[in-house]
This record gives sequence, structure tokens and C-alpha cells, in this order.
Amino acid sequence: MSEIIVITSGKGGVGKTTVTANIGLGLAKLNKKVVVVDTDIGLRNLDVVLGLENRIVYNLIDVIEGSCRMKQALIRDKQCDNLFLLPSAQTKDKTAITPEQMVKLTEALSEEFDYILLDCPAGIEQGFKNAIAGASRAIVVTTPEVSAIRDADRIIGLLQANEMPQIQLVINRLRMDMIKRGEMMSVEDVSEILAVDLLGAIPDDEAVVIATNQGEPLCGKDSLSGKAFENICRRISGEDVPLMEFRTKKGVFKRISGIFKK
Amino acid sequence: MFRFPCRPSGFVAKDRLKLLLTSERLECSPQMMTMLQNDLIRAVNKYFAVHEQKVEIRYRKDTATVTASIPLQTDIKNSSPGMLFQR
Repeated sequence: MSEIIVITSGKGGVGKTTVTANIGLGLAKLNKKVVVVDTDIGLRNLDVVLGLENRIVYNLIDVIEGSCRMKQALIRDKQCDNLFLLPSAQTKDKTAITPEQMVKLTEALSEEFDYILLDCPAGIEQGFKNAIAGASRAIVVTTPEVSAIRDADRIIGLLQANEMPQIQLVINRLRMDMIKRGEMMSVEDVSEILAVDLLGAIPDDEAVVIATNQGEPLCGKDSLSGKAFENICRRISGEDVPLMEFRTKKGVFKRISGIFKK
Repeated sequence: MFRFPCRPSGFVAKDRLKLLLTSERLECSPQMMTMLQNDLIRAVNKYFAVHEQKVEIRYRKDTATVTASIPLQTDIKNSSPGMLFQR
């Protein structure tokens, strides 16, 4: 049975696209057939993160409007044969499609794939409504910053109002050195505030920047963030993987932080 | 409230967010306020004769408080107590 997952955040620039690309690759490496769909019509992004920008012929709008077959628009990933990209259009805008059309599209994709990952645009307007329409599971990406967490809270509220069956949290760009000093909110702080199931935490890692520069997502590779993404993918596929490295460090931190609290 | 002189900013951020989000999560419609007002009048009317036209309910999102001002009947003719409380 296939699963349709939307990756969303509210605030822009927190790493939705990077997370989508890496989860897509990670699940594909676990021998699942995966398609990542860029639903940000007008502002194409996912193709460059995957390094597939030169292979685009048709896009999501072409499929919806029937100007091409689904197979013609899907682009196979360079790294993994199980991963496909459905790119978004750059010429149209978010109002070019309706939630109903998105539901149809995701239903068509679910006949072919195990996982359909929808990269949601920032904001809470039409693009967001389109992206969540067909999904049965939502991953909310946030960073440990006040503005990103506030927007994530709004998004979680909207997802709940739309009766999204499963909502999980990914906290991105954690800096362990700052958390140790108390200058950044920890994984526990953020998940306590947002009160949704935690799917994973990703450290702020320069390897992510390098990977994006090269157009090769690093999920599963030998870096802290690569490992963190791999753990997230294993959790999505149903495995019970502990949040190891963060929890041990936090234990010490929590005790120290107790001294500073009144 | 006492605060540690140079409190690490992570704690400041958490406290600010907690306050902000609790108030933002309180969605409150005018319809709900009317229902609350009617319920309050009904409840207080069991014990005192309420001056219904002068009842005022205020809802403040920032401090997350509901304040009600419920004036009672001062006119001796209207102030028969225990109207609904008789057994």
C-alpha cells in the first residue's frame, strides 16, 4: 500500500526541499519505490537539490492538463533507480491547479509508487491547500527559531483543522554547541512547545550545503546529517530507531540548565 | 519576577514562544462569546437578579483572560431574589 506524505513548514527557508530530497533518497535506498513531487508552482526548487535540473521536459501542470503522459514527466534520479521526480512548472502560478486535481494526481501516482512525497510551498494559501489535499500524513519541518516555531504551530493547527490523520515533526539545523550553552532551544524544548510526535532531528551540518551545491542529497552517507536522515527514513518505514545522539547530550544539558532556571 | 542577570537566549526564546502560542491557540468567535454571556447570565440569575442589558464580557488574547462584569438589579421592584433557586 502506498503512502502520501506532505512536507510542509509554513515559514520559508527552513529546509523543506532539502528534507524532501533526502527522505526521498533515503526511502528509495530502503528499496521502496518513491516519487518526490514539487508542488511549488512558479518557484521550482526540488530539481536543483536533486541535480536533475537539466533533464526536465514536462512538468506537473502538463500531466494535470493532459499534455503528456505521467511516465513522460517523471525523471529518474541519478543516484538511485527507485527514486523519481515530478517537477513543478515555472510559467504558471499556484492558482493553475485545484485541490481536486492534486488528489487525482496523487491517486494516479499511488498505483505506481510506495511513497509519494509532496514538497509543499511556504505559506498557507492556495499552494498549501493543494499540497495537503491528497496527503494522509504530514511532516512539519521547523528550525529551533522563534519565527519558524510560531509558523509551524499555525501549520499544525491548520493540518488538524483539515483532519490530517498523522502529523509529525522534523527539527532541522540544530547546533549542539549552542544548545549546550543554552543559546538555542533543544529538541525537547521544541517538541514540548509544538506537542506533536517527533519524527527526527537534523544537526546543522555543512555537509548539507555541500551536498546541495553538488545536487546530490546525502541521506545515508557518512556524516551526522546523513545518518540523521537515514534514521528518519527508517522510522517512516516503521522501524523503531532511537534519537540517540541528541538524547544523551541533552541529559547533561538539562541538568546544567536546571541551575539557571528559577 | 526575578530573572537571572544574563539568562541564555534559548530560555528566553522558549518562554516567549510559550506565551505567544498559548494566546494564539485561543481562537474565539463572537458566537462563542454570546453563548458564554447567556450561560453566565443564566448561572448568576439563580442567585441574584442580573441587570441583563448591562452585562459585559471581555476577552483578552494577549493575557489569556476572560473578564465579566455582571451588574445586579438595584431597583427593588426587579430584585426579587432566588427566582430559580426555590425548592
